[in-house]
Amino acid sequence: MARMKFLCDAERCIECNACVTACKNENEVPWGINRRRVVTINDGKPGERSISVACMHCSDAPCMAVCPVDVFYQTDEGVVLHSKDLCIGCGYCFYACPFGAPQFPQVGNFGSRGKMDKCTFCAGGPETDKSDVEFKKYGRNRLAEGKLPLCAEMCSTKALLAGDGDVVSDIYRERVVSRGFGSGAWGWGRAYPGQGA
Amino acid sequence: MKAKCDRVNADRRGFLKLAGVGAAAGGVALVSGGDLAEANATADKTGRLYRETDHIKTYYALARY
Repeated sequence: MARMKFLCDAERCIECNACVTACKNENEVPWGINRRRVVTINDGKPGERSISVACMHCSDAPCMAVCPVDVFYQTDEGVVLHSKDLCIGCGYCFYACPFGAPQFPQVGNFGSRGKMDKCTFCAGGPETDKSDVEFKKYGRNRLAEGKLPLCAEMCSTKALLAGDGDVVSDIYRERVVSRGFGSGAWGWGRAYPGQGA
Repeated sequence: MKAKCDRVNADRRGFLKLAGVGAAAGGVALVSGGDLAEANATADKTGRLYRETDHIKTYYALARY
């Protein structure tokens, strides 16, 4: 059974932000909301690494656990989705998420935030697949069209991988073998000094 | 006597039919007017969308470079 996963290869990411732009354009994400963003550490210094971050569609998602109105649901292929009709904009999911994935369109007085928005793995929402209502609320349903999230498909260096977790991890394993050192993961050099990266 | 009983039963059934139709119409109006009810009905969509199309196979092949 395929399980959808994102994996960002920090050795390949060149911080071009094409994934961010592609996501915003494809899903017509409103101003002020970034479903995906590129995080860089040690910027401008030796060992600089960038990684593209969005909702990681956790197996045991903390946002699902804390939501007081139970807006979240997980599809059979592991994609965490939510219903904007039920969301009350309390922001608990934002505090619970270790990746900062949930985004809110407003910052108003008295804590009003509006309905939560987040990466849907380009899988739409609870409305009918590929309908206008679904597109307006959640963005494009590329999975229903037989495609993968545009952020990963657009990535010029194929740093950002998306799709069946088994296939994606196979691809990454092959890269690790061909590089001949480390795992390409952050902290490898610190954990295993003198073995590169 | 038997005929009278039949007529009474038929009347009661007619009343029940009318009441049933009225309740159903009210229910339809409630569901169509309420976004929440609609959202609850559709939130059960947890089926599988992913399938390994040619498009996705090409993506995997390119990612292997």
